[in-house]
Amino acid sequence: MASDPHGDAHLERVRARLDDCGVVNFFHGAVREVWRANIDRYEPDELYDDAVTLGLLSARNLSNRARAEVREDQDLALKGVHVTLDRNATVVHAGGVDLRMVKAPLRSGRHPRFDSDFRWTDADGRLAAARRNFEAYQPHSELVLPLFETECGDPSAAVAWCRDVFLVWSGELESGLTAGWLGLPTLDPQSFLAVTRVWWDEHPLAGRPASEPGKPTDGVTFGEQPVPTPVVTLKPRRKEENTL
Amino acid sequence: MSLDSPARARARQRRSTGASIDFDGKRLSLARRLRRVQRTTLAGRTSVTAAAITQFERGVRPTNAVAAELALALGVPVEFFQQGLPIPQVPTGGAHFRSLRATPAISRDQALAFAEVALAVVDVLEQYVDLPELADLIDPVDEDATEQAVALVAGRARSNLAVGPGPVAHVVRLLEAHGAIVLRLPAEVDPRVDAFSTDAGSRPLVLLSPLKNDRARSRFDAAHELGHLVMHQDVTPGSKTVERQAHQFAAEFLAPTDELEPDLPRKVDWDQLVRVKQKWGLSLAALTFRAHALGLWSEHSYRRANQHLRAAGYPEQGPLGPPESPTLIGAAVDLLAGSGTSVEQLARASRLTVEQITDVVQAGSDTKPRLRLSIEPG
Repeated sequence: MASDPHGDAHLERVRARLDDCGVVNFFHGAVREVWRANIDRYEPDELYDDAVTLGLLSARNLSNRARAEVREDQDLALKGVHVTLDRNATVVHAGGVDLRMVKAPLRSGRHPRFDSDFRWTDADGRLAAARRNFEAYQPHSELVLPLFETECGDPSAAVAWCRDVFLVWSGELESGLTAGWLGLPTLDPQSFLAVTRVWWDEHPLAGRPASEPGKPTDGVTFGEQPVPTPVVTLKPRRKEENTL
Repeated sequence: MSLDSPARARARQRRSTGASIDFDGKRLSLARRLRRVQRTTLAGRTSVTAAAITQFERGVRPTNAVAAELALALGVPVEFFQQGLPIPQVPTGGAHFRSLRATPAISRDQALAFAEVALAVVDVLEQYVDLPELADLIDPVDEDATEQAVALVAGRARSNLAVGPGPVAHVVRLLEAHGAIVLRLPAEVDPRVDAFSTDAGSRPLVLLSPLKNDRARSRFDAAHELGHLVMHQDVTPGSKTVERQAHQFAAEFLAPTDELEPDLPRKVDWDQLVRVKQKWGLSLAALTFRAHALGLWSEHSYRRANQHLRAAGYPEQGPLGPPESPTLIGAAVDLLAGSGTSVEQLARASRLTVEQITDVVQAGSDTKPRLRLSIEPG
């Protein structure tokens, strides 16, 4: 995805503020628990679950959970974090931005394509958020000169008016590992002005040697190890008797 | 003049044959339990009551006629009841049964009786041969021992049994080489008994189920029983905690976590799991459990993997061959036969029957179990 340097810089500042007030940590923990709970009850064979039921349930759980827990969390409240409901969607207000949650499609695992996996036309709240950012700031192409001279202002100042941020998250079905990104939505075809990753679950055993799938394991098999032999001998008395 | 009831008449007739002078009640109990016969059933096949049988088993001597009746009903020569080699007693509380609660008492008694005969056979064999020196394995753990503590005990047991890094070649042979007696339970014993072990005799005794026709499972069962022998000397058998500790011991003994972990796939990959199975001699079910316990797989993956295994059934993919078999008792008897001491001589020396000794030898030999055919008269 082509990124806009002003958007990237703005998003990094937003990220730092959300980190400071504990919102990123809060969402990392919440997403991980919601995702694990939902993949544990995901039953495609018995209950005819599919990616849609899993995604909807997880998204709804996260939304409800964020609304309930942010309201109860004194630490977050002291840092000015609060939640509202917009068109039945939870919006977290923190660090000078409005944060909405977006789940990446299951098919993309933890590698969503930010320029093609997301469209805002299906949800009024998201569409409105993307429109506000779009109206606040549009990156100028260096190859296309405007027909008329206009006062665009300082783009680094203009991008700061992009106050709608999406917290995109995804999870893997097999491993249960999750990842999260902050993104500045826009109405451009590429959907995001800028994206930055804010967490990536590591495997519990990450950093330790692991075999690659399909690669034979090293070392001898149990069948190739020397087998101990129990030793049985006649008692000396019996040996003597036998020689008589 | 009073009229005799039939029972009184039978009793007078029994007394007229005289009390049996040489009678060991423990041997009556042994023969009865070995045949899986309850006292009431035995009473129904003889002229004495169940209460009388209880008295005989406790040391009251029956008449010669009753002793003969009991012997006939239990299929042993009457001489079997005479004092002979002391038979070690294995109380229920002295044996770790894999399926204690699921096993009927009569089946458990039969299995324990077989264990007692086996220990007696070992005692008589040791009058003639030197069996492998007994390793000092005892390393008790608390009831609330952590998984890590059990893993450390398993590591020490590997070291005490001179097992180097990597997979264990042959668990049964390893136990035998360090002085334990391993036998397969006879086919007549209720399969619900599964496996069990006891240290009530002069040597630790492990009895394995003959029905698990799978090498990986036989290895795990033997390692599980080794866990009891190492950790649970004075522990009341049967609790879930004790069984769980033995399972943890077996898993860690057969494949120490730090060695197994790099081999396990990070997601469900049956081809890789079969390779790991063939390296470590562990079942796919055990490897699946381990991958989940180590946090390599999510609950979801673990459940799916188990569903797959259940649907695939037994035998598992990537079979490892026949179950591990013991050899020690068979080898000892072969050695004696080569030096001119027959099973019949062992039977005479111990006052066990030839059939009883042969059953134990079969159970402790690397051969197929003896097939018994009974032909009903037409």
